[in-house]
Amino acid sequence: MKSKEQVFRNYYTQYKDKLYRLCLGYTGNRADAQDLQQEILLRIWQHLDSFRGESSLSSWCYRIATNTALSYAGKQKRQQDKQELLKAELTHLHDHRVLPNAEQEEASQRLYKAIAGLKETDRLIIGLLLEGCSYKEIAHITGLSPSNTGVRINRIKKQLSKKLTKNEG
Amino acid sequence: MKDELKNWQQSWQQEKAPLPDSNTLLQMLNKMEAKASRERVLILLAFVLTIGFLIWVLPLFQSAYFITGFSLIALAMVILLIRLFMHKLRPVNRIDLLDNKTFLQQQIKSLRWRMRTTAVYMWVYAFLLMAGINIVYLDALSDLSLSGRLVAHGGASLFILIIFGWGVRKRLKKYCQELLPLITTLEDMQQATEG
Repeated sequence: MKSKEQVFRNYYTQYKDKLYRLCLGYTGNRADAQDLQQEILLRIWQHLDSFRGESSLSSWCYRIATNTALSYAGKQKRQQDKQELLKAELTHLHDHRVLPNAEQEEASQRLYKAIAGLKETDRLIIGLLLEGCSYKEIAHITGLSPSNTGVRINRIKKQLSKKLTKNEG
Repeated sequence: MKDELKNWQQSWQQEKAPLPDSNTLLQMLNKMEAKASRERVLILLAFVLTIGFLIWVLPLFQSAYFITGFSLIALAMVILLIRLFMHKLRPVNRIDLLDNKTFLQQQIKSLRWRMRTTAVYMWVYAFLLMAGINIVYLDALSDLSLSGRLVAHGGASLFILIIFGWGVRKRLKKYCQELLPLITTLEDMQQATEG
């Protein structure tokens, strides 16, 4: 049987990029994304014992990520000073993005910026969609009904498309 | 819209979680070990002072409660010290060490031990300490009223739980921030040396 640490580390290895992207889409900047990612990892660690296997581990973790991200927004407003300190501490981690050219980098930045301009829940929904989650999974993770999720995703796609076109022009 | 979504997915998935490069990795490992060795000295000092203080203050051999409580507190500290001294990191002064499979294995093992110490042994330490203090209190506070004793037992236990809860949370967050990316990078390097 795998120990808690093994399960946790396996999860980290497998999902670190997905989780980071979700955080980056939500916060809109790398320093806050890393802080949020740590907060989510900490919660996953703390609640890993209560994981019963009723859903997949990834869905369960995404659910924790979603809830943590939503509570993080409020907390962050109260901790501006602390954030500044943390940003300084995080400089030791290098940026490992795989961006072959400037055009792609720009496209990626524009996308993340546009997503960060959406409503809080919408940022998470589109993040999950871009990670390849199905509508059903997104509904399960966010707690929305499947029909509402579909409607919402369509609306978010339109909004995002509009924002990106506006930014291009 | 379908193509647009595909493009977004491509742009989205180009972002990767930040991991340290080789030079940063060396700096981080050395910094971490320097901090851990300071921690070991401090805890060793605290151990000697605590044991000395308890022997000086408590009439140890006059009460079974005192000797049991003292033994539990000493045991807690010894367990923690053994853990701290057993997972020392080897100093890294050459970048080519990162191509050495055995070296990488040892570093990964040491870092994993640290996680386990924080996640499990800190709590073992806290509970032994709590048990030790409460057992000492059974005799030391026997002259107090029942309510006074209950407050003292509850207060000490709660204080230890809060302090350790806060400390473990802080350490785990640090673990997520530093140790996890480090272990992942070292594991990637280990795989590269095997492949």
